[in-house]
Amino acid sequence: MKHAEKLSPQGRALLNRRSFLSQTGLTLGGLALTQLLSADKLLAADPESFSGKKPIRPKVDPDKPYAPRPAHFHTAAKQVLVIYCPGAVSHVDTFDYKPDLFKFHGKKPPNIPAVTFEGPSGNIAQPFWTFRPRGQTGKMVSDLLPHLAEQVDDFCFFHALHTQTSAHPQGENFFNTGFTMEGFPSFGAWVTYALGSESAELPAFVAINDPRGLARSGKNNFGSGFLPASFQGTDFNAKNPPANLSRPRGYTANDDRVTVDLLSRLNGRHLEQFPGDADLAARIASYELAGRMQISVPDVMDIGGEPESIRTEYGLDNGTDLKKEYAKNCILARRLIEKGVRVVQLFNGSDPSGGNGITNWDSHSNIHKTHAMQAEIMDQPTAALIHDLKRRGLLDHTLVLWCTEFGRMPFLQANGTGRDHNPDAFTCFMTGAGVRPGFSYGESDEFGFKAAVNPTTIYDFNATILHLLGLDHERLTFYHNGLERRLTNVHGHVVKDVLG
Amino acid sequence: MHNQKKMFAQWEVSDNHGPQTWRRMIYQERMRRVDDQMFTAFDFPDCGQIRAKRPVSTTPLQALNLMNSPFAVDQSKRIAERATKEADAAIPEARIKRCFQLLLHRDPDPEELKACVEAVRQSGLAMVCRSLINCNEFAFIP
Repeated sequence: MKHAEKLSPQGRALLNRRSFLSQTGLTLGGLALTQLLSADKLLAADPESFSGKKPIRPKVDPDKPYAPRPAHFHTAAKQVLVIYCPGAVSHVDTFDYKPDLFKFHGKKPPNIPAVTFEGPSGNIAQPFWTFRPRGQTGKMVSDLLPHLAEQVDDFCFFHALHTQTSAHPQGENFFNTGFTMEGFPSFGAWVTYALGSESAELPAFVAINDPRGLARSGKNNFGSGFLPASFQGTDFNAKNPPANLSRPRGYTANDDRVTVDLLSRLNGRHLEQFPGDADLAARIASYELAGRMQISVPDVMDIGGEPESIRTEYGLDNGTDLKKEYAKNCILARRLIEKGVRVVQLFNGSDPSGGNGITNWDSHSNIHKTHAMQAEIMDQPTAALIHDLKRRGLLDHTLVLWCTEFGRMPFLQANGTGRDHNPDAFTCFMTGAGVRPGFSYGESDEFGFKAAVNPTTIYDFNATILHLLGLDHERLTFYHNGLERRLTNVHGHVVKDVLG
Repeated sequence: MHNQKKMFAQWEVSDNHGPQTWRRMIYQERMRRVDDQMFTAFDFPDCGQIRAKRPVSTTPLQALNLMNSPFAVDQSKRIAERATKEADAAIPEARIKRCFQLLLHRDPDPEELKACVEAVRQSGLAMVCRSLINCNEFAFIP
């Protein structure tokens, strides 16, 4: 055999096993072989996901990756708003009423572990806020969230959620991407990959970060992972536009016009050499969308024109500065939903500084103070947002989720003032299109310590969300590194009980 | 993050972005979770994942990046300066031709040249470089 260096590039290529197979596959000999193998059923069939179901691959037009695409089956929900509270909201102090905590207050029952995530455990502590029956359903909700409490008749609670990790970044990753490790596509990326968007002017998937900054896992919460980058979330909020949106300092409007004109000429000439090339056309289209975004995004961010009644309802006229900033983000969220943005992910809380609940819900100490601080920011504007969506009829086709990465313990930490992480029981709720209102699914045990009745995994939660959007979580897959990947990995069942 | 944080855990944050660090990247040490301002929009894979082959996608975020990012603006200026230095000052369109040679490995055709002369008159040579950096001919290998 000839020495490799003496071969031509084509010859060397044939020595490479992969290219040999791909090249001979194109010859007549290869065709015959293919036929023989397929007749003997020796060729791999269309790939199947772990469930054995055939993937439904979204037909993504490279020219218009955000064009709306049909769901797997028809459902009411066409858009989704996620209100994500980083830091772990205490379920026993908000939505999960546990009377036994009053009975055992100050005591340490035998099944309480000696040590938890941050260290030695303390005694059981009754809720720091009073629980009252709310609405027609009489659901017990604490005084910490009085505005949200008024709408419980519309909400569907999950009280037996549990997760695989006690750490925030992993918890956020798991909730938002289905895996504790980084690098997997976020839920929003999966949804826009499947469904595109209803808006041609704005990004399909928007992440509205907390005024205090990004959450612990940063861009991974709205990243595209191994899905094409087109499906990553664009992050901005009421105060900060997306990166690079604005004209650079020192450039004028005419400079931009000069650039765009020259660019059109260059691209037009280039396209003549490659007529019908989808990649080139797609890139030209992406510039056009970027141009439209330079107008549409500042437009949607400009909430100055909202009436006084809206400003009052969302709480823009009272409370702390942080609350007012978050309220503006809530108004922005509504405006984005109105414009047809497919997925809006609204954050209430950022990366913790010092881990004591100053910048999010992570109340390891002084929970009665820090949770109150967070609730002041979150409660009224969020309730106003949900109510506003309902009033405008947007809730008919929008799914709303309120969630956090895990819960908190029914007993205190050794410091006697805070509650530690609880991965084994926590509460989230859903409302809106297709969701059964005034309902609670699952229960934690008598202390809210562990999920007890109908334990629900994050996989189940995500499978249910996808189902509500008309997507089969076992058929929405993407081939990567040898696997048909899914948001729900190889797990998860749709919780049929919560379907309206 | 150099303009946002002084420390990141135990690491001191320093801004070493500049000509002394502009190299072709074969191996780079990356910090988890720190977003790359340029590459994230261009299918830069997460460093926690194995990625034998990147997806290729086109997004308006890339367009905004190449049009408006400080890096693109700065490079447009530097390439224009270099072209001016390397071109024959006696020939009026030589600078423009040098930009085309540097970025597209060809000369402009007569219509392009005329359009560029006008563009330079209105906005300067850096703006021509900005257009060249953004065009498909620059972005795609045929």
